[in-house]
Amino acid sequence: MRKVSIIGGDEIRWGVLKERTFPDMISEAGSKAISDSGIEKKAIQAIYVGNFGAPAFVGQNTVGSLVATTLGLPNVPAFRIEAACSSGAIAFREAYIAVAAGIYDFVLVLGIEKMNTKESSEVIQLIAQGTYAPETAMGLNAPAMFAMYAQAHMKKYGTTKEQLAHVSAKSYYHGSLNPHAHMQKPFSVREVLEAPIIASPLGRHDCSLVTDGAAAVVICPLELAKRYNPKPIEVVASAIAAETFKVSQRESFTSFGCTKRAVTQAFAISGMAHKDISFVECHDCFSITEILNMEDLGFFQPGDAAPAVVEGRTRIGGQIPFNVSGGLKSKGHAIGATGVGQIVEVVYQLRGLAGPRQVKNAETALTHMLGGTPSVCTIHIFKKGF
Amino acid sequence: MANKKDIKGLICKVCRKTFLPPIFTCDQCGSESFSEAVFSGEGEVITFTKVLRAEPGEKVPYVLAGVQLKNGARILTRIQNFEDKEPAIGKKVVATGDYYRETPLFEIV
Repeated sequence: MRKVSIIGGDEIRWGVLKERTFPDMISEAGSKAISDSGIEKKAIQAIYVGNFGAPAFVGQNTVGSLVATTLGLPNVPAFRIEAACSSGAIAFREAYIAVAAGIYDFVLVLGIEKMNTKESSEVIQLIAQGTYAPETAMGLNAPAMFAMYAQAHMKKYGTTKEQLAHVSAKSYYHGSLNPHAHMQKPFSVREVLEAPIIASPLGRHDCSLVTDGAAAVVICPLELAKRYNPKPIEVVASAIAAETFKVSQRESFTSFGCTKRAVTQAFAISGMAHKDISFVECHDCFSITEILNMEDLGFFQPGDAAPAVVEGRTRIGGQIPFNVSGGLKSKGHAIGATGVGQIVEVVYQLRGLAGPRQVKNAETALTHMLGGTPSVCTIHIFKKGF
Repeated sequence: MANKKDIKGLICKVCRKTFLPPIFTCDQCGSESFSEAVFSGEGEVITFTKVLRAEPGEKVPYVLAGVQLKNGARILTRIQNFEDKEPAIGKKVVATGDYYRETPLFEIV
């Protein structure tokens, strides 16, 4: 296996992009990433696309070919990877495997989602297609599913709704510093608490945003990287783990087994430890999810994450900043794009280009995406390759 | 079935894990052999939520719950009498005999 690095990464501004077309979003994200990489566009040998719902949201299938053709690379093989919210992260992982194995030298990974084409109740229904259909038929949707984790975590560890509100307030603050974020406005803990309930105990401000977004990175073997870009980012671990698709059969409602298994692999592959990680971009689809992630990833003991958030230990400048981009809560959750967007944030941060949200002395990062119920977890660890 | 609150289930012939149909392969041992069983409708709430925003056409609110049957499977179901009795983790529930999309529904005892 060859060492792999990111030589280019960029994204569009995320948000409710009703005025932008799907190809227009692809074009901006893809062209910026390729331009940043320093390679000629025609050097791209394959395109891996992360996308969850283009057939339903924009009436488009064969998204890989659309991306290739839109970018002026009609003869480059391209295809779409779908694993709900993990789509983008798995697209990156599959591209990484192909480059590490020596199949390709230069691959573009592009994540895209355009969701604000439907009414919000219809969007909830389409997102719910990411859960097990017989359970979806009982009325299981994403807020309900994670609300059941919240109830169990509150009962077992005494986690409170106010502590959950601190997670959202922290992420909104981080997002307010990110010019690419969907929501660039801070909200107080009180404002978060006063939002209408969606599925008890989760209110509207506990839920991630319905976002249109696109992000892209170019990867190549580390040994070639500096010929093209003076600041490559090395991929030091790629890990994936799974868990049952059926919510009724979960091994726990206070942790995600797939995260625990994936992070164990990731640290074993990297040879690194928690203390070596500068910051984390994690899958905070709901406030409670970030709490579980903090514990499952092993940065905090079970029951300790919520108090740590209140103490500010996951803010920029804290012990281990979580979701400095604003996360799914504030940068936004453009489902298939989110995993690639996290990696673009890593590129900005490790190159020292993150402006007011820059993590001081950032040397490494861990990205974490869940998918499905969550039935899959994808984790990557990165370090400066310069 | 003797009692309308009883629930038709399946037991894996190899590892004895219990399920509600349909099941094709046991998720614990990989066996494809099951015998039919009848579970009593008694159970306990593992976790729950009251849903206030749902898909078009779904009447809200409703309470979704993970229920562990006393002598059988774990299922995802709905609690019917949540307006009279506050749902909570650990509360005893019993099947009402009603079904929603082929899944038995429950009420808090």
